[in-house]
Amino acid sequence: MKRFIQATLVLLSSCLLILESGCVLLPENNMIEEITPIIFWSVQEAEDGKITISTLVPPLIKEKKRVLNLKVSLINEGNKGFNLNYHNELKAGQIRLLLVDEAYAKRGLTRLINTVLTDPNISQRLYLVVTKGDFNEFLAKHLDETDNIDYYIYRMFKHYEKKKQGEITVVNLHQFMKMLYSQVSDPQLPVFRAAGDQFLYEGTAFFDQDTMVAEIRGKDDQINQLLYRDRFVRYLVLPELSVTLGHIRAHTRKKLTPDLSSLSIEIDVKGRINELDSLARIEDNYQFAALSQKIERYLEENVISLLSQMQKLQIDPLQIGALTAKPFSRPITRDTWDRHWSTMKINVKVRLHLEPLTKVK
Amino acid sequence: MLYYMIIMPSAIVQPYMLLAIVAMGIASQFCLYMLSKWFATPYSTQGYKGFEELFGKTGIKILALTGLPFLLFKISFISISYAAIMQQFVFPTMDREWHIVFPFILCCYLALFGMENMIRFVTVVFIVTIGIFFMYIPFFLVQSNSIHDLYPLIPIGPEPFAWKSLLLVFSSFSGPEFLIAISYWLNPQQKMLKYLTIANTISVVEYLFISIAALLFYGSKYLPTIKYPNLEMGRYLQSPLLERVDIILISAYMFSILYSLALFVLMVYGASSLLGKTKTGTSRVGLVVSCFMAMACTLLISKWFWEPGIEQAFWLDLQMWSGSTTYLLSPLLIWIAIKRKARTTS
Repeated sequence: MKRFIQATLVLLSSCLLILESGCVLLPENNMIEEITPIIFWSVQEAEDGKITISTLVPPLIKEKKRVLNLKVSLINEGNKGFNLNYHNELKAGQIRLLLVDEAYAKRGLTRLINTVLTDPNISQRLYLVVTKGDFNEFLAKHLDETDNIDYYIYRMFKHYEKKKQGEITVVNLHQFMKMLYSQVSDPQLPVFRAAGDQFLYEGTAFFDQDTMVAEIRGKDDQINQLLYRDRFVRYLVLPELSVTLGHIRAHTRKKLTPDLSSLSIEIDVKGRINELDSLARIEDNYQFAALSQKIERYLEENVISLLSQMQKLQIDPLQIGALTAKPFSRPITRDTWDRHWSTMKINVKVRLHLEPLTKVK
Repeated sequence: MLYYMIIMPSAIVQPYMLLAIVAMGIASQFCLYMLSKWFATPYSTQGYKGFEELFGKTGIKILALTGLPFLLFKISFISISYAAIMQQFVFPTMDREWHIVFPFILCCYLALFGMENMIRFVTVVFIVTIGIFFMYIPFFLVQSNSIHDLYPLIPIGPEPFAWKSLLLVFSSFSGPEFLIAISYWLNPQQKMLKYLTIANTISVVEYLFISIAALLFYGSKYLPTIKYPNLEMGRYLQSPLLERVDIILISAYMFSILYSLALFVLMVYGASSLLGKTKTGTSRVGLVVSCFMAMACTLLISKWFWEPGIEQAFWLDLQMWSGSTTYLLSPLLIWIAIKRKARTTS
């Protein structure tokens, strides 16, 4: 046995000797002081078919920050350009966010996403975001030594993604691709507006395949959160009824008729009344029932208007088309689905299970 | 054979292929039944003598000569494919040849411990590889899953039925035929069929589990575009300690790759010593020489005949055919030999 080990040691050490003597096995230098692992890329459309790609360096160290941006025709041309412009080598292995300008998203994301997908260093968990306004100007206001705005934006997405909370839409590269490839469904992405030194959540962008076609905000966005995979919504604010519902959990059942002529959606909403303009509105049980009925009707109307908006655009961000897959029948094509979907009758039934206000005077 | 776990979900791109796994599992059970007949005979415990009685001296030499290319090819295929995976996921800038050389040194080391110790090493390999199983559980809990990704369950549609993937699945079940060669060390008993059935069921369940996870995670349209879905899925996992879970996953696969390589190298040595006239027993030098022979063969293929595209597809096809043939024919051959022997003696 001893001789085996000796033989192995000889073999291994001779290998190491070969390595030492100048044969480069790993031609990549990852010395931490000499590289800059960036957190995001932001892509905007520029004139004559070019794009502007920008990023913030250096991330997470107490040093004066700098915005790097370049006008290029290929994304990786930008990455190479960054290396030539900056003293450290930029590494994309830690990239977490891809911010795309609205104008670019409206032209289609396929090319951009294909480039990102083929890079083996980039994780599938990369968050995709649509931005409005001047993002570079926003970055220019966050150049302080202690201002790690890129990292905090990433943490925000991570926070809301973790427990599937429905405050904001969070979509990563994998989810986007899965929706893009699926036969009948379309992806959605969050929309943020850069205004001065602020980065504000605006709503959700709907896509037709890879092209952004619509954006929903406020109330519609909240309802979208509820319908999209039964998320948890902390506050459902309904200013028209002067009511706020809190701690909402929705459970949705969608059912298609076999001939694809109508869709019925049943939504069970559990929550509590969190805020009300006057307690007189729920003095007795009759009034309470009347109010909850009013909210039910109101929600039903809004769900229908949201869905009819999708029908008009012939998009399916809620993956209703996935329901057409059956164990023993042929999957339907996109065209057939679009034809049926745009004329489908929709019945919505909302059932509200509310806990009344307590401890109030 | 674990390597197939790495490529198989790319063959199981349609939900109805899940049924193919079950069907091929049943087919593989027939081969195992024939194998168990071999283990039930007294020849299996006698080693070389047993084979000599069954096939005669020249028969063994012919068999060794036909087996040798199969073994060498299997070694090359497994190690190059694994090296390609290492290159793609772990060290993209490193030359592939280095990823071949290092595992060969390791497997040479393992093989030097001799067949008996090697067979005991399987416990370690089993514990490590069964751990891979648990890494795929999170994919059943991902929120974007829906059962509709697994429909339709039967092949309906314009695309022709993929008989090739069927063969690929069958070749993924191959491997137990090599037990014939090492039966001397296994002290087989009458219960062998039971153990083989359990092992076969575990493989079926494992393949189904991972294929379903991949289908749920990617959907049947996205999945065909991905070359190594299993590993890409590992890439998606995140842990608070490590970011690249897939590197751990690939290293875990390495145990079984090394084990099979070492086993095959030992077999190559055995076969070549059967062919040669050496009756002096085993020697370490001979083993190291056969290890280097296998490595040279692998490097040769890797250097000149492993361009992506047509050549790789050709090797995959070849592997598929050779895996299926050896799995089907070697138990059959040995079964026929036993039958013939039984007739001539009685």
